Amino acid sequence: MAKKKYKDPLRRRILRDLIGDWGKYLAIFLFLAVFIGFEAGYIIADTSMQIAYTDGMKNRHVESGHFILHDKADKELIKKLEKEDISVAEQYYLDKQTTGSNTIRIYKMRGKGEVNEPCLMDGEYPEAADEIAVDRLYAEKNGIKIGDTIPAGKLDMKVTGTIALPDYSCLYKNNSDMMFNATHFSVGLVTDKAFKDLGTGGLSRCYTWYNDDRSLDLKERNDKAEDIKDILVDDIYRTGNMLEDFVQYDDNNAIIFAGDDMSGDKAMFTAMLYIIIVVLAFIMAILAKSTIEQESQAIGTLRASGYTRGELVRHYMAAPVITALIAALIGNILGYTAMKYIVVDMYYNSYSLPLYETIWSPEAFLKTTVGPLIVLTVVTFLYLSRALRVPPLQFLRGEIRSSKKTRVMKLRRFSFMTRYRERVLFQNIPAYIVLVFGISFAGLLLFFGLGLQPLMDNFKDDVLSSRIAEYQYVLQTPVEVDDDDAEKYSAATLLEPSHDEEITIYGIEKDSEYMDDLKLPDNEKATEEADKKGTVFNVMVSEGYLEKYRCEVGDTIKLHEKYEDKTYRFRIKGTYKYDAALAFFLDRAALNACFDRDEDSFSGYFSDKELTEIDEGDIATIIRENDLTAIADQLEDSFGSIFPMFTGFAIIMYILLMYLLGRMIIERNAKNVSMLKILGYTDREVSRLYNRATGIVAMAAVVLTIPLVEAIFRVIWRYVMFEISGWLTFYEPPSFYIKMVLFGFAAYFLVYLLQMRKIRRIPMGEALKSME
Amino acid sequence: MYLELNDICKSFGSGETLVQVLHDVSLGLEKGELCVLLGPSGSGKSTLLNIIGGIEDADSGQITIRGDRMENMKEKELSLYRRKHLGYVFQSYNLIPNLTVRENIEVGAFLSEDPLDVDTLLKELGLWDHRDKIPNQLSGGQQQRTSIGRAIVKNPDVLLCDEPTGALDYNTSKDILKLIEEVNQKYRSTVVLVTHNDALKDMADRVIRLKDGHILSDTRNETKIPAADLEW
Repeated sequence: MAKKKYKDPLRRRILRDLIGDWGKYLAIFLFLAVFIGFEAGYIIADTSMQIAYTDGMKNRHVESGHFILHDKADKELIKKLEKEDISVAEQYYLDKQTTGSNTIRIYKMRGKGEVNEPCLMDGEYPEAADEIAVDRLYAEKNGIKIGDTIPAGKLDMKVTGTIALPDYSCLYKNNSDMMFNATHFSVGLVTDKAFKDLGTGGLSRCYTWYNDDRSLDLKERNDKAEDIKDILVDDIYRTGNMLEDFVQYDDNNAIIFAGDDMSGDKAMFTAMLYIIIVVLAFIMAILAKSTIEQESQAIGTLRASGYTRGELVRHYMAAPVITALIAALIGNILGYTAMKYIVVDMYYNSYSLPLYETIWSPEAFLKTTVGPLIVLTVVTFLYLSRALRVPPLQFLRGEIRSSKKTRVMKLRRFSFMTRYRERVLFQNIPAYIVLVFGISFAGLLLFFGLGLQPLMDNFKDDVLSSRIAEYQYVLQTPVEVDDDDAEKYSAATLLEPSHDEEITIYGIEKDSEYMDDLKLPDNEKATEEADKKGTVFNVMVSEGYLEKYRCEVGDTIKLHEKYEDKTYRFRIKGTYKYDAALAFFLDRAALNACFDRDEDSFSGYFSDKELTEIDEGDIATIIRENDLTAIADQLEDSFGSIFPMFTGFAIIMYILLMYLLGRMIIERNAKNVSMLKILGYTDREVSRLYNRATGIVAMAAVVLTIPLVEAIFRVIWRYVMFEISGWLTFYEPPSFYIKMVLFGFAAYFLVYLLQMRKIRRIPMGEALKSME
Repeated sequence: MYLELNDICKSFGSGETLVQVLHDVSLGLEKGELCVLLGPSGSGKSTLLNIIGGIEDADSGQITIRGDRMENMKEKELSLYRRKHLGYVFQSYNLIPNLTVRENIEVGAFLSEDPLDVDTLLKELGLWDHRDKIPNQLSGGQQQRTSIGRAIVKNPDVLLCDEPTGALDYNTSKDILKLIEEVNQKYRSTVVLVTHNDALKDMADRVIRLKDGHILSDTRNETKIPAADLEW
């Protein structure tokens, strides 16, 4: 008869370990599931939205560019343009005032297959003359519901639906605006009759062009745009018409900004997940090692009975790896369900994107399931392989904890309690290293969770205190104004070559009343020699520029034109406190000379009051208080919901780290705890020995790692700042640091209560077990 | 010879702290022999047992069990050697705390290509009624019975017992010794039993006395006394 083959009974332990030590494994599970869920949700939502965005551009025939003419284009012009292998479409719009001082840009309804085809997000398209469909994001931000009536100029119109237009995925009113503004600006679609009824006030004769060849690269698209522009300029000479605006696809922030911004944070979130995974891997390894120490004699017996080291490594890896596997899978499910919506909401809260479909993301699966599992498995495997390398006899003797080389540390003559705690500290150095590392990382999360708001508030204060005037008019065409408040300025925009970032060059009046604290540098010689190649103009630069590009006074900076291969050289003579943008300042005459403009040329006015005599059609944009703080406002608006989440992550991390490692230290010393109780120590006194040791390390880590964490955050912040235009100076008020410490203390207090419960539950018999 | 040791030397420490624990120890045991290793504390008996068990290296010498030579074996080969040939019983039972009695015994059964039937063994060990209990629900004697079950379920060539009654009271100790005797007789396992209790010599086929790492005497019992009749 064949002998019965027995299955490995150690396998049955795995489930019992998981159930028996549920607190530990639940903590690991939650830790992983939450972070993996968020990262998976981010990748899934981001990928799905990206596809919706790019498909929207393609399937809804987004324009290759548009231009606005003062008068209607005649047939000859259209014919000339269409010879350039493009299709030209008339897409006139009306800018009308709506609720409050908001602007709604109204287009005629666009049909299926037309350029810039709309996506209906909810409700219906308008059919009657008093109906309108408005941008979905604007409607949400202003509490407009389908069925509501909103003003559009002098008419009231019923909102029948919400839409997303591919040419306004980001609601920039003017392409030259510093930031989009979904709260105060919307687009809308009406019927042809409604468009006629609205009158011609605020009419812009806008024409889109659509390249027949969709495979053109950037340079070819630019060349084509230049050709179109040349034709338009020629036409102006021919007909006397005026070109009011010309924006090609690649320069149109309303189209490309959302696409450029999406996925921008993916690398940061992925890095964050993997840092957490590595921290967790070490926690798991330390916990597994602690289990090995507690079971050392049973392990010795198993090894003496013939179990190989590999079999035991696999056995002790099983419970944590199974926990991680389940957490990763649940995390992925969370990613496809609840967590996805956080990121989707974040995007929908910033951009007017079309409807999306959730897609299966292999990237999310690889990055959030396969990757973390590999990291956790490898780290745990290496740690356990090393821990189980001890010979069986040492396991049997329970001699695996201290190597022969370890010398008993001589402690100074503190009280017994202090010395005992020091012993606990020295005994658990690897665990405490992980604790300090984890707390540092949680502190970094707190910088994002709690630190960004005060940073932005400070930025707004700085911007407002350093603004030049209440109103800054940017003109389409130079218009003279007879007003004492109005002060002319010239401006130009150049690119910083290393990051292609736009730098505004301001030409200021020498005796400026608005910038009387600005000491303009001398440029007389440079102005005279402006025609000469390599002339260097002296400038004052905004402090943000110096910080961002790490320049010094005396440096010479080279900037270049956006489309032309022309370079300008500027020497930094000093700094000026101007936080709204990265800017250079010199006198107006020098700027005009530098850019080969007429001596009296100007770009607009600074004014502390509204300049009503300028015709609306002559104004490109007016920069007001809201426009200056738009970057911070929009960042707050887009990421406001994410900030508390980071705080939540940080607190979860604080609690779980302190709980898992504190618990491990108590479990590891269960016999000692039991013996102390037998000797007459109260639970509170035992807690003072073991919990306080962890508490001291945790609290010291919370406080002492702040400078390190701040230094890391500054590096990350710098990196983030290079992703956007401008510069937000790092600043945190003292209250932020106090909050940070308080969160750490609160987390520890909660863990302290849990650990007290654990200590209370250790029976006195524990110490006697080995003596049975 | 079934188990053969030739010129086994073992020392601990180095330089001035060098302690020679075993000096050229040679001995041979036949299949089914019950051998008691006697000696005072520090005589080297446990070290010798651990060397036979492959959990401690000898500095020099050779060990052979059923023709398998142990020296120069790598870690994994040593594990397989222990798995194939040996059963271990320790003074502290070292049971796995969250496995039942039956499962603790199955730990041994799993390792063997030719295991004994666990149910039968549970009955023979008097543990049938306790088979679903976990170790901390058992008395010391029951725990040691379980650990013996774990060792012998493998049907090992050699059963190594290191002070198996060291932590037990008189009556329980006698029960355990009877069990070891029965195992030896029923399964024809070679048994090496390390003890400092001189009375146990009477139940052995062979009695080897060690002192300061030397074999002081190696005698055969012509007339054995059953474990049940031992007195101390």
